[in-house]
Amino acid sequence: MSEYTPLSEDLLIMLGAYVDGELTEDERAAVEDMANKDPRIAEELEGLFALNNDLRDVFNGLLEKPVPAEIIEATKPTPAPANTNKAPLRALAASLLIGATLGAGGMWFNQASKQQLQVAAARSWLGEVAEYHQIYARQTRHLVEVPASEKDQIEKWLAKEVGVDFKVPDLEAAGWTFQGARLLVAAGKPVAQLMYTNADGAVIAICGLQNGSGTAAETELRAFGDVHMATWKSETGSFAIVGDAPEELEALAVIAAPLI
Amino acid sequence: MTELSKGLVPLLPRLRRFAWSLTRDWPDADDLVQTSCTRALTRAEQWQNGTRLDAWMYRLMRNIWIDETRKRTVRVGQGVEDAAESSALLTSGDSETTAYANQVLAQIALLPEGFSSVLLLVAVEGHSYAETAEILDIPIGTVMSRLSSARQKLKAALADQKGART
Repeated sequence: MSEYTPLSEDLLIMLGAYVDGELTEDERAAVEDMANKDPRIAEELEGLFALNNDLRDVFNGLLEKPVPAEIIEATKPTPAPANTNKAPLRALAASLLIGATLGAGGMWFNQASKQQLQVAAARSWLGEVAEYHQIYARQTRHLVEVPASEKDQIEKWLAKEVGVDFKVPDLEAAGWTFQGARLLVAAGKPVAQLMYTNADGAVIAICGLQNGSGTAAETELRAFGDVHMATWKSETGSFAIVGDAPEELEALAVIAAPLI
Repeated sequence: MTELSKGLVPLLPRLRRFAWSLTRDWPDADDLVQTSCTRALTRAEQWQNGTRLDAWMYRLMRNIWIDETRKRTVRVGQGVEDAAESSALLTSGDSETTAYANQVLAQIALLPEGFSSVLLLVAVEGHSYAETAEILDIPIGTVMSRLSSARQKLKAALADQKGART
């Protein structure tokens, strides 16, 4: 560590520019020539490359921090006047949900009515799930919070947080390997997200949240931009399988629904 | 959804990372991303579809942050964020890797203001010096000197830590 004369600032800037690919052919050759003759310069270059690797690892690690829902919300255009047309529909949806919850038993009402109202009033959870998918499907290195090896733990953890009992569906036969799970928040409710990948590296997710409506619903296909979904409902939960290829998703939904 | 808001969603993790490099504080970074997205949508007509949205957003974020720091009398950075606070930054991965990553982050947070964004843009995201100078609105010479100085400081600090451990 104790060099007699430190490398000059200009030389260090030049070595940095070498590492950053900012030098011309001739300048690069000159730096390489210097490094061959002076081990201190070679060592400095090595240190700069190593530091770059560390910086990439560390900064790329930051990309995996879950994006808060408020930020995703801030990417929406502010509601235009045209949006007010939806208000009666939302009110209707809210009242239907309250009716359904009441119908399911008074005990449910106190517990669930506030959440249900929030869901009805907020944007659809499916829209938010579609946006999360765009983000998480790119996190190929750190796709999940809890890996598939902890499947039992995942089932317990998500059931407790989300409030819907479910099993992780085995989709191996269809070519999709379970990778693990994440917990999201969409429309103010906790959403379980099970991630699967196939041999091509494509990513699909099965998402589920509690839904006290008590009525099951058949598979339905929806699209949010480039993100496609097949959705269905059980008596206690709403589910969506999210990915790029709509036809395949519908087939997978049919396989997954009874397994959950 | 407009083209702009569609483009913003997949960029969010990178926008947050850039915001952190400016603020070195997560609550500030998240506020900055949120404000910047809202502001971007009101100026959607200024962004030309087809040009790089990340660089446009980075410039916008940098300008908003400069305004914000001018409003605050207290300078952010310069040791405000200590290592303990930064250790909450990364939680995944095995513990040794994470501990080292947190040390690096803590040292980045301690760099003088304006240095960490240069590191991020050039060393991590591969922007050219010229692009970086444009995004941060500083001369190219400043990009080069900040980079070099940031690297020397980081190398020294991390070598000291390694030395202290063994």
